[in-house]
Amino acid sequence: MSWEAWVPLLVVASSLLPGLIIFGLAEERVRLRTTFNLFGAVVKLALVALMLWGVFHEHHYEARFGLLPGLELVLRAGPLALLFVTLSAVLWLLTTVYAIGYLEGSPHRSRFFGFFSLCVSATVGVALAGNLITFVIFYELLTLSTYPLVVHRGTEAARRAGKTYLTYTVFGGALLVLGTVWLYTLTGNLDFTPRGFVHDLGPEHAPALVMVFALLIAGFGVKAALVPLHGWLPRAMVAPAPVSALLHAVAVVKAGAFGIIRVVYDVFGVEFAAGLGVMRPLAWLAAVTIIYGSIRALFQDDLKRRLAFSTVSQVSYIALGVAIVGPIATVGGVVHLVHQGLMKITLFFCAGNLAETLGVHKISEMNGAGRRMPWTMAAFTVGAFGMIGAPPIAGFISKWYIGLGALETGQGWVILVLAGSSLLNAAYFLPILHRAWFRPPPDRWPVEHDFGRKETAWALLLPPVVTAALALGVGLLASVPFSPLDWVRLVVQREFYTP
Amino acid sequence: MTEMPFTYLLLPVLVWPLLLAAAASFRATRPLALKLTPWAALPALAAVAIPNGELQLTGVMLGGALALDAIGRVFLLSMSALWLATGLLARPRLHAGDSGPFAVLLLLAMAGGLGMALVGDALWFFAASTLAGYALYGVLMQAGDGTTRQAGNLLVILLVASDLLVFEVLLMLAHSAAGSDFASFRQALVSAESRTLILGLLVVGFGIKIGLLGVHFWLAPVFTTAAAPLRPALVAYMLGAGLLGGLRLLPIGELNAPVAGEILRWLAWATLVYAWLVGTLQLQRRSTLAYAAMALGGLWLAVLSAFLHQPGLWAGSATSLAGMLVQSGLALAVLLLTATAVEGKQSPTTVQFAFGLRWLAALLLATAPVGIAGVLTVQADGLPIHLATAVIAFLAGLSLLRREGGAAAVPADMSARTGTGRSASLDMPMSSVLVPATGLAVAAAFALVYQSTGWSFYDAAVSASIALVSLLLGASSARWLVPHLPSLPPGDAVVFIAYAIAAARDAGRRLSDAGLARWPDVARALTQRIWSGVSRISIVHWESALIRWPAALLLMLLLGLLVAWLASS
Repeated sequence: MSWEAWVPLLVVASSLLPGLIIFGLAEERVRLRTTFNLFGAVVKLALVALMLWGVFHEHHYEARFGLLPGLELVLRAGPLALLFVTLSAVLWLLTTVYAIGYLEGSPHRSRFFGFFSLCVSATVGVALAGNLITFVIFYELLTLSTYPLVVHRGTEAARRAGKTYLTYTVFGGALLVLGTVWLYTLTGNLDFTPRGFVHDLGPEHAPALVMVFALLIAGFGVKAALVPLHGWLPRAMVAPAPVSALLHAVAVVKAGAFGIIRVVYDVFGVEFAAGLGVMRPLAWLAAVTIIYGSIRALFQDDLKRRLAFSTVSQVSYIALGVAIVGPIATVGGVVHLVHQGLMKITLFFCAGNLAETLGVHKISEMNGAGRRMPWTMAAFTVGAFGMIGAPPIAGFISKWYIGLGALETGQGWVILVLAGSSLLNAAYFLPILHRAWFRPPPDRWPVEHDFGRKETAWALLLPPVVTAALALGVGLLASVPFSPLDWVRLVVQREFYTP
Repeated sequence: MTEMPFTYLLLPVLVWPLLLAAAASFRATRPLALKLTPWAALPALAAVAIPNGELQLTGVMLGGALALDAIGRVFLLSMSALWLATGLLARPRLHAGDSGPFAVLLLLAMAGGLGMALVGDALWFFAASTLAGYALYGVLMQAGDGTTRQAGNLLVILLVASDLLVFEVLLMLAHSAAGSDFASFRQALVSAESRTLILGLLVVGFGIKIGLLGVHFWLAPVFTTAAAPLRPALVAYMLGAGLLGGLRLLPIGELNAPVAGEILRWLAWATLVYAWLVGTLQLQRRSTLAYAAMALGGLWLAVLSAFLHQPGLWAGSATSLAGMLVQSGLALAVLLLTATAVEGKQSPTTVQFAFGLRWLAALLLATAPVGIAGVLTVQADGLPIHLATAVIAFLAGLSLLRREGGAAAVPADMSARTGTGRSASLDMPMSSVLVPATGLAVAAAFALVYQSTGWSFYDAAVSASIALVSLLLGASSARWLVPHLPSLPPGDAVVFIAYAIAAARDAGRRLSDAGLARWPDVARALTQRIWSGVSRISIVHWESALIRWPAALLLMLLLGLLVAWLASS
């Protein structure tokens, strides 16, 4: 095996090995645990940077292992995979820093960070998967590694949420396996191929392919929180804020959305899928999810639940962009993978800060929070406006491309969905900002922790400020070389559409 | 336009307020930032002297440029003067405690506001106006009290609606535009199939920001409750986001659309009549001026209507129009600023000076349409323009002499926070900025009038006469007619809707107090019964059913059977 084949393995191992070691550490070994955590995150980032440089210079990073006769485990670093891996690596580092600060003094940290690391390994495996079977394996490992994080607190509510999460995701996994097996029997191939690999099958297989598509989309749709398979997401908000941030922005929902992208472009091919007639229903489903999630968010007083329903809505922008079937909309949908990740993780970090520092969990308790925690609320403001689609924050760029792509393909109804969604986003985010900045604070916060002159611990403050700055930066500098938008344009141009 | 080295001098106009905003965010650099904030608009004022040029910034957002042309220069001059006035007037507030958030929001609003005059790209204009709008909302709320917050809520709802409309329109135009510059978007509108729809959406989208009839509800409440230093900023925002946006994106002079022109003409009539009626019945000077601003919007519609009927008129009218907008904006700002300066604790000299300044500003506001009237009434239907002149002048005159009604609360004077006892709404040093600015506007107006082609002295003289007579009529009505008329609170229709809701609630309470069945409880019980029935088949309930193991297993079994059957067939 060449050294280039080791790189994808090392990227997965950079969090797997520290994770396994952390399991064995005693609770009191705080410094050692922190060192392993940060070391793994930094090494992962360095390896990802190496892969980026290598792919730019046309190196080929691929590792193959025989799994079963005719089936291989494949890890491959293509441009799309690298987009997701880079996002995961950057956000994992920040989430690790955040989690260290958030869980300081909490019990079972070794267990938490052990599964935390496994979760990221699984996510990276999903990103680097070179075929559908590898994807499914890491996808299921993601389920298994995130379940303990959801139930971490051990309360009755956490256990119920975990049960819900497991039911949904195992059900989705079963659909996925069913679809994968059926696809393999039809094609004898599962390797991700630019523009798909099923188009050689004759028209007599069309009904079967439609069913396979439905099974795969349903399987991925659970984690991507497509209605009506989204129910686990708001319930999983009982987990600690770093877990919510991880679930919503880095790992789980992104894995589901990424799976949808892979199925549409690298399994079926977007033009072939459109010919099968499956893209229009997917677009409608995504549109319904966008509006439904926003409406549900409007009626939540719990901050994290409101953000959870917002995630249900926002992740479906990715599916909508993909389902519109056009290069411009695809750019909008795929780049939203990055943009939504940055904005949503900012919001969850801020929600965690409010909970940890002031004991604030509900929106009705947030009066005057901006005066007490100005930097946290400033970061929240950037994330919120990004979600609404205000320029020059990242969310605007995604919506612009999706809207333009919809008009390009004659699907003007999507503009109405975008407008309705933006209106609803404003309706449920602006009141939060109004309360935080312009209402007088209460005499006493529910449970206030004093940090002296600082608004909160630096480990809790730094990550949301950085992610908010990134969300602003990738929108403001969207057209510079190597920006996420530039990257996605290249991917779409080279890999997804017939030149 | 070409890119020359001096075009880099456009950057400080935007970058300097943003840098100061960043500095004001950190405790260590805040004192210095607060000292420099009042003067943050100076680079913009200096940039007026830069020759026409363009600076491409291809990496920013989706690519774009900063550009300075004749129209942009006029707006940059007026907007920078207004922002400079705002900054200087806000000094007491900036020196008060806890002024960091106020300073940051003020500077962000400034950057967005000045940016609107400089950007050469439709998307950048949208970004600048969005930043300016929401930051202005924030600074209004920061500086105000409970009544300001209510007014601010109205403003932000309409801002959201406006930005959504403009965003949709930009999408529709970008679809067929050759580039993202203004000229390409105008050309796309001219050749669009659904041209009338797009035009309508644009007029409404920008019209919200200038108080178009039907979406004007924020004007009077915000005008009456905005703190004194922020009033010039408010006018600057309306100039930029409302009027300049229309000038940049509407294909004035390029599109012959008589049907759309006719619709706008009738809308102009309705706006003007409404503004005149409701403005006359206002209690306060500032709310009267709000309706004068609304009448300016009506004038704008009348002018647009004329250009849609006869696009050829634009060539001779561009400078007159820009001059009219700027002159009226500056005059309105002075009137707003000095609305409460002629009473209270000011010295007699200050009061007299303010009074004189107000008369001058009212005169300027009344005569602002003269230049454009001189061009348009020659060849187009001049009646709406003459009506607009009359209404604006009448309301300006009315605001001069009416006594301030005692009903609405006025936000505490900002100087009270520093305890200096000096009025922040008319500082003597501040007049030294306002007076030259007003003088500049007067000179510019006359210069522009004489430069217009196709200008008719007779029609301009008619318009000037209408303006002066209406001004005097309005001023005298304030003393002898209006005190005998009923009054309306600021916010007109919104206030009536709120009254109607409160009255209905009150009537319902009385009904139930009269011993009839308590219909709210009955209605509530019925609603709950229906809801609990619906929720049994609701998605929430369905979700709960799905997560039970038997349901999930049954589903999987059925699915497996279906797949097996399909695979075998």
